[in-house]
Amino acid sequence: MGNWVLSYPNRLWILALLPIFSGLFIYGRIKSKHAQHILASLHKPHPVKRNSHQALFFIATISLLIAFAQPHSDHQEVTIQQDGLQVVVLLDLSKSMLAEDVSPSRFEQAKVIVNQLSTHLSAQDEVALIAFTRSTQTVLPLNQNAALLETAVSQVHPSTAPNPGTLLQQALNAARRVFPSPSTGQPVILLLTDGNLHDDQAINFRQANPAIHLVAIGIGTEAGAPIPNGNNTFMLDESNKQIISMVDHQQLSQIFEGEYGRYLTHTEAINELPILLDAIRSQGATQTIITKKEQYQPFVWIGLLCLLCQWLLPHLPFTGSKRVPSTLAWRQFLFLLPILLISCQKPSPAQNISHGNKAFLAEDYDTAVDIYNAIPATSTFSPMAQYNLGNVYYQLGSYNKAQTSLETAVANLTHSLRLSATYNLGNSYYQTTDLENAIESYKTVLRHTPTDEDARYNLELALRQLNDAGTNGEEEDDNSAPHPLLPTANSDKNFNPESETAVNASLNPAPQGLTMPLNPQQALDYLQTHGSTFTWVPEPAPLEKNSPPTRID
Amino acid sequence: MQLFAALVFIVALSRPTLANGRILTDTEPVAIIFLVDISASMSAMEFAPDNRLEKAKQLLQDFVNQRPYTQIGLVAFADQAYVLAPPTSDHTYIQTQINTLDLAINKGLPDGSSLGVGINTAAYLLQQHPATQKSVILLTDGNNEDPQFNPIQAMQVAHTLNINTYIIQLGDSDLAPIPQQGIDGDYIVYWQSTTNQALLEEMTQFENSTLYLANSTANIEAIFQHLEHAIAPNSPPQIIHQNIELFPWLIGLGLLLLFGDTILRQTLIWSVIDG
Repeated sequence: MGNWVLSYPNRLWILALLPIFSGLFIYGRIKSKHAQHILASLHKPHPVKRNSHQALFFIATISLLIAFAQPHSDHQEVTIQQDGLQVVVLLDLSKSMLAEDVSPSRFEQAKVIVNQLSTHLSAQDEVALIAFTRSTQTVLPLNQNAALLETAVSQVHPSTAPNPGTLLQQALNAARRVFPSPSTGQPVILLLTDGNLHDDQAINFRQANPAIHLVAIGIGTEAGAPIPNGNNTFMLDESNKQIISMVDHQQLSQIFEGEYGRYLTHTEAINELPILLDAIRSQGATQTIITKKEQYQPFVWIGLLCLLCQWLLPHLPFTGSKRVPSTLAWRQFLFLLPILLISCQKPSPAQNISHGNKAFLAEDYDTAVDIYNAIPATSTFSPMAQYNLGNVYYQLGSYNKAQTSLETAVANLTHSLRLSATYNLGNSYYQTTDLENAIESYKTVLRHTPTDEDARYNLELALRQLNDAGTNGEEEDDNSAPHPLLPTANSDKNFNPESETAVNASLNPAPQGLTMPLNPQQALDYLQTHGSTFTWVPEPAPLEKNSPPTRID
Repeated sequence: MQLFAALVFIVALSRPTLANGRILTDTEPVAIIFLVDISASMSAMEFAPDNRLEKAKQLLQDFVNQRPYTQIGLVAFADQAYVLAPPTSDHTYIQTQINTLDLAINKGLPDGSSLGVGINTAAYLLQQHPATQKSVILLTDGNNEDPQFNPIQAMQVAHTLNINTYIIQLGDSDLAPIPQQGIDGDYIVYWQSTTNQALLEEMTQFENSTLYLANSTANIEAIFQHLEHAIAPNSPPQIIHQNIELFPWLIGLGLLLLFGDTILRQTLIWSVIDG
């Protein structure tokens, strides 16, 4: 229960009105004395009755006012952290990225930064890769698997990129469209470029999208280097001089440094990028939600009872009223009674079962047990609750309790769940090496569904073990023991649209994956060698544009 | 008036709320990978006017549209596996990629049907994903032609890693109508289908795997409808309902009525009598 606190203690100031009411009552009393001669025909109110009448009014008012001030208990603050970063890597693929003023080249240096980023991101973070020249290509869509960044970045190269050039505005807009709305993380655009940008583009973008952190990393040196053009030649300008691509860090810094923007050189990036990302991550929007239990009901009850008494008082015989008891007040009472009863209703067992199932699926078994246990044995949902309870106990490894629950369930269930319950009961007998009973259960299942392979398999397993036990267990365990012992519930194999039954899946959370011949580590190792040999097929590269680049503002 | 006040209090007791204030938190972590066979036999015309692959593409597009919050990935396979998208929330991207799906032979890729490789790749992508519920929807009409990758073993691995597998077998083992282009126009050849239903059945022996047979348009649509319910019905973002409590208003109204009633009783009566 905890402490009871009033949410709005200020509302109790209304209590100050009460003296006015007592004044009113006194006024009424004087008036009534004054008017007695006029009202000679009316009976004089019994003093006890009048006093209790007013006392009841005051009690009712006070308790209702307390309810109005909203007393509550279990005050809790839950903080929700919007998890993770959403990083869109914008990779410049212009030809100048091939320049070798950074060893081995600007592009290779960008790859190093990207690969470093992929190791720094956590499982909550999401990452995307967009390569851009004068056109943009999404190489990796926003996803939570940062390791794929390395695969994706190896798919692109400046020498094969279409539409050479640099159109930053378009790339920034493409990156912005990647972020989901409403945002589910901290949006970051990580721009890897070697300059040649129109400064107003980035500044406009930053002003228009203050929520997005724009981090730019300039790759290259201020001295610059010629741009390779294949076969040991370099790109030339009209006058046949080598084009020297230089990176003006100072200019880039002026463009990007500022609120919601940072600029790093490639040398700074190696050390500072992780720190910067952590700083952005820690800014993650946290929301505080206050949960509390309202406790106003008892006060309203008291108030209501007092009011009822107040009405019924004049009509009770002991108060000395000479009036014929009015049936009106009783009629009011009878009218209110059903409404009162409705308002007292408890949540239905069906709701409880689904709460239990939620807890079960969340692997919160203790809660699930409590909820299932709370369902009364008389309820129509009791057998299902027992079935689920049995499955929970099975999952928890307390097979004896599982047997008790499942036995109850088998005895009371009427529909298809009964077979599932029988099968699971067989499994729990098996676990306690009560092989005779296990065999009986599997046989029952097979009698109804002869095609149930799981039951047949487990039956054979149990029979074999029984035989082994008969021969003094001489035969050591072949590898049969850790074989699947899976409850059949929920396995709607060979689905046939016509005969889809209305079995509510949520009533049927069967335990899954109990024992397997493989352990997860073996499975992961298997996938490392057998599942990582795929070909990466990103979004088709944009077509070569023939028109000269136009500036988009 | 008193009766009305009492009614208001009783309604307040039933604790009416407005389910209005909702707070969006994380999306429920559910990840699905579509694993699509792009071998040549996927051009069979069971689902006329579409072939198997086109029909699959349509249904996958619809599926993506209906689940805005699910992380969806796309892997195609013929002779080997092609990752078109890892599980992503960027559904525009997924839809572009579904549209680019075409038969391996049309793309100049080696034809074939390696179920094992496909499942391994999908499981590999899902295994690294932090989602709590992971599923693979496999659309195939084929066989396993790469003995190096055993599909049953692949399924076992997926099962061990708690990945649900839904296998949809397109077409049955009868003759499959496959359109061909000839010199004097298009014609239809009936091929003996290579579908190995026994293998698919063996692959779905595991607890969290299901085999569906689709050989007509109505049938495959029903299967997809079923899948929409079967996979993670709780996929929308987890929403905390911060209900607006209405009872304080009701109690306030009731109090007002009660006060008004008392005041009127204590004054009006006498003024009437005096009058």
